[in-house]
Amino acid sequence: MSAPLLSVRGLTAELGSGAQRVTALRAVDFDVRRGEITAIVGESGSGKSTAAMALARLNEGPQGAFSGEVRFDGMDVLSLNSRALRSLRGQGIAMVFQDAAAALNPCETIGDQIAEAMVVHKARDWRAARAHAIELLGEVGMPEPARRAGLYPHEMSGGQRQRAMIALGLACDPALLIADEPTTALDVTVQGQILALLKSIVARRDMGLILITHDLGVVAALADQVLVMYAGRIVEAAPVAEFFDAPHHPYSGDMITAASVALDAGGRLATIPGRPPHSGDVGESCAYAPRCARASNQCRAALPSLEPHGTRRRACFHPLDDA
Amino acid sequence: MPTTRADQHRFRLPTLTGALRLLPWLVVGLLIFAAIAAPLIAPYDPIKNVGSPMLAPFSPGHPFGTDGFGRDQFSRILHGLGPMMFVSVGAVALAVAVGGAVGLISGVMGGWLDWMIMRAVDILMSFPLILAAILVLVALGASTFNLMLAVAISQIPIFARLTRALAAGEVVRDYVMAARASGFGMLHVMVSEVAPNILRPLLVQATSVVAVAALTAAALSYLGMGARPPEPDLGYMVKEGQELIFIAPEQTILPGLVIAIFVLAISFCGDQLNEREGG
Amino acid sequence: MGGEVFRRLIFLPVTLFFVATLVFLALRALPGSSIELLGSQFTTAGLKEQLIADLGLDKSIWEQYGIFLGELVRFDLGRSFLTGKDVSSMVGETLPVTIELAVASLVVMTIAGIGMGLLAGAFPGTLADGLLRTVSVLLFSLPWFWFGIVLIIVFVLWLGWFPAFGRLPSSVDYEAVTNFVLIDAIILGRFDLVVPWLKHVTLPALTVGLTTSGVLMRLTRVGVIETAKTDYIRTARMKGVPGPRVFFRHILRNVALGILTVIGVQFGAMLGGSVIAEVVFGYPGIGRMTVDAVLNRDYAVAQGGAIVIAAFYVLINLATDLSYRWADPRLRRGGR
Repeated sequence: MSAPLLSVRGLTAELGSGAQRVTALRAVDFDVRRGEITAIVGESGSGKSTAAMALARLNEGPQGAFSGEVRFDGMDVLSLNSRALRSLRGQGIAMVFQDAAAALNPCETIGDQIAEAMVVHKARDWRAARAHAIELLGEVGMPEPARRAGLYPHEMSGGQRQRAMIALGLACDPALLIADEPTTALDVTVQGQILALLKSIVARRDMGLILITHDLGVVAALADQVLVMYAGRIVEAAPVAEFFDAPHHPYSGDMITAASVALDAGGRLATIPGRPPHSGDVGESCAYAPRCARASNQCRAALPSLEPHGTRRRACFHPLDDA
Repeated sequence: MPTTRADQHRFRLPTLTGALRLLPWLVVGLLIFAAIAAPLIAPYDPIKNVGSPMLAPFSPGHPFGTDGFGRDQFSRILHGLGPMMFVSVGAVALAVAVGGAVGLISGVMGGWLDWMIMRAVDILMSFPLILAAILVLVALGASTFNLMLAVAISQIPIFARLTRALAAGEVVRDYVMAARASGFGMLHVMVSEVAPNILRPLLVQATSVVAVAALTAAALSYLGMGARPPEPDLGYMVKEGQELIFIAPEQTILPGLVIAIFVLAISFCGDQLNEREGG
Repeated sequence: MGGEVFRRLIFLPVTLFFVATLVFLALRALPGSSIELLGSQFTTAGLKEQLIADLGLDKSIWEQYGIFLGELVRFDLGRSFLTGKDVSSMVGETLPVTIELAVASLVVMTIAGIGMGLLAGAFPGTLADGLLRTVSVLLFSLPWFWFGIVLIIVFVLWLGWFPAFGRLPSSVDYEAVTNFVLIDAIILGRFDLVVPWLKHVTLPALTVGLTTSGVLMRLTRVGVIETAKTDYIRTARMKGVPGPRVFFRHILRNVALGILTVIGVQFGAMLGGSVIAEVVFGYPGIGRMTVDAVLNRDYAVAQGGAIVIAAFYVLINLATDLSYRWADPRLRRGGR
């Protein structure tokens, strides 16, 4: 296999200030290849969005510091200067945010927002950039793209806004797209359309896609590999078919069970009993132990490391395949 | 929606820390003490020529010199503190009482009465504040008491609107609903149920408005619509001093500075109360 | 949203009617008429009666009110007791002067308020932020009239940079057309008027503009800080837009709407401020005219001045509201 597009090693993030400073990510390792869809799943607070933003250092500043290594297309992302970082954002890595209504500038037309990325990065003039913006809107399946380019975000439906958001992400031909819960704000039929769109774009443009979600149905339908995050760490990483076939980490198993129970019960929200811990509260023990049926004294005394096991990796002393 | 005048006065000041937080309270306390004790601590009669030369410079006998009529400026400023506080605090108290009552009725009763009251408030608020106060003073005649009334009337619509908003928010709460369901009359609901719950935010806001009232009153005094000379009045003293700025600029600077210090200290006190209220 | 505008427009004449009535009543309630004030000047009783009859003061208050309203709808504001001048033409001369001053004050307020607010908002929590906030609070707490006098002491008496009194030097020969100096300067080609006028307007405009800038400063600062936290600013940064461009193009544009409203509301407040500044600086605007008329018991002038100021204030606030709706795309085309 060719060298991965993105390679993350030991990524650790400290967020917040003063007494509220927490370690939001701990030693996260994973690779993303072109044409491949990687899903990061986990409950809210598990660190999946933090990880996504950290890849473009978007949450960096006085409130956030990173260590470890992020290699993108041969570049060492964490040591880029601000100029190179700006060039990376948009051109190398683009992001589609969860709530497009909030993530699009309310005072600028959709067309201008897409065009601006090209004006900034490729020094195009506005006219050419706007024309290309209309093409992009067409590519993401926006009806009447030329007219819609002149509209403001509030004049569109939720699905159209999310399409515009994706077009914005594609503006400068990035190699990696990160979609952070791209469909949670949408209704079910539109969700399906947006996911299908993302899948076809990745295939057509031979991009990498990182899909952040808590919806296992989306993962099963779309992803090639799955990363399960819990309390700031990856607890299981597996090819998607094997993952659903036989999850190894008890947390993965509980999630899948909860999701299928919810499906049987008419799609109502699935939950695992207990609360996910704050990433910062986790000491040197398995963070899932308090909620885990298989937890032993070993789990409460030591932190299981993420070990390779066949085609997957897992961090558990008592994985589900050990009967 | 455009901000109301009341909103504009809700200032977020730089946060004072540690012992500095006490400073504004100390200043206000000191000024209140000086105002009350003025007859005792003032070295001279504020309205009599003290026999010294006019516009005497600062000296131990006349710490702030003498004014254009040979009156002791220090004594005049001390005696001017009382009227300033009476006017600003009295005006706000009156405005809270009247505006509060009107707003409470409007907010609790709702319906056409609410509509009428709020349109009346709109009309009163369509005057620039200072013009409204001038008209009231024209109708009543200039005096310290009428100055207080004028400033109060110009502030009533602000408090009526604020109280109405607060009251309308309370009326839909469960405890008010329960009181009404158990057959209590509107008056009982207003006085016993709603009023106690909106009093605190109202009073906190009132403290901040004292600063605005003091500034408005001082401006009206300056225009010659406050206390009648020769009564000592800080705003009018600035006016009298202005005519002499070529000779003795300190005579116009000092009384104005005292007003500014009072307003600043009150603003900081109000802000600390606001903070505690979580506003 | 259209309904709200319509309601405000319908409400406008009603408001103006009540404003006029309140002004009329306030002035009729005042003790001691201007005739008494002028008393010493009338040697014969007959002349005095004649004047009272001319002015309509012998009629009942209801008749006076009827006449007053009738004249008002014809834009006839009566004549001055003291000078016999037509009040409408006095308003025509003084209102532009006040508008000029209010606009100049607005410029000062906007530059100072937005400038301080942007600086403080761009670097929140720093020393500069704390300093600017302190300055804005200080400015807010100063009595306007006193601040004006301090400016006179510093810039006129000590430094001698500006004149202290009036709107133009008396040596300048100026035949007004519109009564707006800058407009007349263009119409008449009298560009020599501009510099003397600027010198005269600077201190009054600084007085009003700086003391009112605190509100704008605070709003700009908060607006910048809050906007910087929004999702769409994160999107802009993720697009790779450089920091200064994010600040000016994205943050500022979104803060501008809030700023616009405040500026409009403050423009109304500025009319009140002009009254004070005009008295402090002997500036011949409508505020000073009205205050002088009130002190001299010159009914018609005080009445006309107060009504015009109030009407202007109402119109400004309405215009602000409309412009706000127009400027915000969410409100402008939201109904479509």
